[in-house]
Amino acid sequence: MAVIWRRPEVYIFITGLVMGLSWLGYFFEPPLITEWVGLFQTWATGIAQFALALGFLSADIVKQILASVEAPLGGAPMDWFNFLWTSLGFVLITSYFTFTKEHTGWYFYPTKIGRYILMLGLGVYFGNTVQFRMAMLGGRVQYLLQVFKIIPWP
Amino acid sequence: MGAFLIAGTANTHQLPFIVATSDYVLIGEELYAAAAYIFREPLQVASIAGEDWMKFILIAITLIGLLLESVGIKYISDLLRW
Repeated sequence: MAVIWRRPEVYIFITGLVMGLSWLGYFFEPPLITEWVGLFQTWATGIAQFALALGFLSADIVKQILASVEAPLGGAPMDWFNFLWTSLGFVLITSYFTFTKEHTGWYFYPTKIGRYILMLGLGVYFGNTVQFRMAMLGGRVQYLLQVFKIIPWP
Repeated sequence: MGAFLIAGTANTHQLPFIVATSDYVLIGEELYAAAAYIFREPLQVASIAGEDWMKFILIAITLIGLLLESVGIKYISDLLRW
């Protein structure tokens, strides 16, 4: 039993359990301790929001920027092409999605190129889906033709 | 019919199909920007403006990082690994 208390995940579990149980105060309003429960709920929600914000910052922003700026030093020319394509593509497409600065003057060109890169990506996505569905249709048609003995089974 | 179709979505999986089938498309965040532009609600406009500032900062970090990393200086990537 004593070994369990040496494991850090137990304390994370208990903290989560207490945070969850504290919400019972929201529904049942236990007498005398209501104010303390309310305070704990505020604290628990704050901690949870902070953890969520940190997770979002790390996963959706920092790691993506990191992946965009890490150069393939010593890599093949194709690696450099991929690196520049994704990094500059990210910058140009993001510039297209800025709305408070008008897309005129010098800012016209990056936003325009960003839109073209975006359309290229969307076209690739669309084409890929169509190709995949055509391949599936081909398989179905082949199967039916074999069932009706129009073409031989392999 | 002569009618034209305006469509918009923030769902990246549906976006290519909407682009292929519509005359005018609101791509992702443009949908929210359009709402803020039409209604001029301070909360929506402030949200768009705040996101724009964040985007400008991220663009600057990426461009600086891109230039430095290309010449072998790993300052930005080390900073982002905190």
